[in-house]
Amino acid sequence: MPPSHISGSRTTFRRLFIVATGECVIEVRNLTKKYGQTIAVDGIDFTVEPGRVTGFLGPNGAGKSTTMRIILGLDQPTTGETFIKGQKYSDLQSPLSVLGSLLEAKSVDKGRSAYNHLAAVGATMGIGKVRINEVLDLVGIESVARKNASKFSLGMSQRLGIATALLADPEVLMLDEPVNGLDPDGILWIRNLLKSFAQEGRTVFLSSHLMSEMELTADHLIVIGKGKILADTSMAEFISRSAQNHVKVVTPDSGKLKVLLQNTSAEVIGGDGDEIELNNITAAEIGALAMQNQIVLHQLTDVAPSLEDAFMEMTQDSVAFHGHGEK
Amino acid sequence: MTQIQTPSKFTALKVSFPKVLKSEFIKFKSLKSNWITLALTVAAIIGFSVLSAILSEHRPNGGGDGEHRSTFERVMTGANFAILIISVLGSIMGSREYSSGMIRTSFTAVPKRLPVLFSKLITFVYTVLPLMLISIFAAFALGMSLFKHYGLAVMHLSDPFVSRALFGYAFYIVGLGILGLTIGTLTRHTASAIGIVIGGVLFLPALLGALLPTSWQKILEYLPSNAGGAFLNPTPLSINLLSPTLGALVFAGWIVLAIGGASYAMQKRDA
Repeated sequence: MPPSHISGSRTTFRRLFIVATGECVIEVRNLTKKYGQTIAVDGIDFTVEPGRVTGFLGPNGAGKSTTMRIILGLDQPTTGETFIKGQKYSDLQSPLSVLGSLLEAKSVDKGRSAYNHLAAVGATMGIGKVRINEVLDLVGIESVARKNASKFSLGMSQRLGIATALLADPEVLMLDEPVNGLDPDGILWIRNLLKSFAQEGRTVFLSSHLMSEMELTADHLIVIGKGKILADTSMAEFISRSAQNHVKVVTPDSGKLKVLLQNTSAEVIGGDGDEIELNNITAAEIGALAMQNQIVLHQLTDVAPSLEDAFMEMTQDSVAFHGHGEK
Repeated sequence: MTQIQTPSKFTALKVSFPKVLKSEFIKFKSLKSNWITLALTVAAIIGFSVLSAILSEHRPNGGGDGEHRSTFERVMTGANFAILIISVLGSIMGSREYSSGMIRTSFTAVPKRLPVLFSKLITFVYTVLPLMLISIFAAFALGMSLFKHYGLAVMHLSDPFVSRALFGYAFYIVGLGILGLTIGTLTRHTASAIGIVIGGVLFLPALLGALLPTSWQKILEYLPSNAGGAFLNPTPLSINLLSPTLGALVFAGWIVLAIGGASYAMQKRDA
């Protein structure tokens, strides 16, 4: 038993244990990857810890998939190293039971059935029928397991990819865009799956470009842009630090209210028609101002920033591929 | 006690070569196109042999004007066609996982990578070689018995070098399949692998032989298809060939070289 004052704080104890044993689950050290002149990953360091869902966020081309491929030993880094539970991935004796991964739904040969795909993957370590049927059932594709994967929808392919990741009951799950192509049911299912996985003390590392989904699933965030780590912090801290609250007002007298607001510190940041979005002012101040001037308000809301707001603010300068359409 | 991590139920199951081999067998068996291709190959080897014998009534010389093809060459018509099919099968087997992205799944399961290549090679040889031997010997027996029926000069297995040439055919077909598999691993692209094996390995040497001055003949003899040609017939078809033994060794040398190249590339390159 650990001393009671430590066991009282499980998180602290876990961190102490990790530091003491040197066992971060995923460890990325000074990692750089160049493709010719292009720097995909630029000297990044981070660790992923057990017991929580760590989100890996970044715009397209930020280096997320490259980093994941290097962790799996698929790509060779230009400099730096990555470790899984203190070992190089290529030295793992039973790699799939340590780290289950989903890179793209494409990492499946479409000429084969789902069952045979899993049988081929499982055979490399001796996993057979019983476990295969278990994961097919778990991801909900047991009824189509004998069909060719070429007949699969994007959502079914994604489920097969997740079944492959879960096949050897891994201690760590690393998923690249796992909710791609899943229906709302599927998204809820994977969210719960990842959370319960983390609650068992296992490790989850996932990338997603769907901010709202990430906000609901991840506890911790690593943000990457143009190959560099921009933030490595808890979800709550990231949002509160990076973006401000704003106030939304809906009123039929929006013109009159806007004029009155010019004499305050408020800054109009958006809205059209009856709607105004404001910064630098509280909902209470607007309410008072409206009452003094007999303006009818239909709605007055404090809008908390979303992960998306925070993310956009942070990565504005680090988006590799800007759109050139409308402003 | 705080449990830091729930360990996997399967940590004790380690990757080993026999397991990877089993995995590759499952992969090969579970692709319907492989079975269709193999069935077509067997049918072609035996079918064309029978057909060439039946057609010999109309073409007793086995060829056009002034051409003479021995009964051995004629019963091997289908085997020559099989060279093309099996080269393509090998090329697809080597490149297919790169096209589908499956290679990433394979390499995350087997991070050492080389067991994947060698298991593919063993699976290929273990499946294709027996089928080729059986169908080539069957094609010979069936074809020759029909030729006999039509009253043409026939060869027997006991004749000098006949069985060597039959084994040679099976060895050559499987060898070209291996070249295809390794080239497919190198190009990671099915169409270019097929192009290189069929265009570069099978047809280019014949083309070069016709175009280059005779002083080059000695060098051309060492190319895979010419080296193979040295052991494919009981009596040499051309004087510009190596001895059968040297031809077989040179051909085997090309295979070893190709496997070495594919191993190096698979180890070094990003997947």
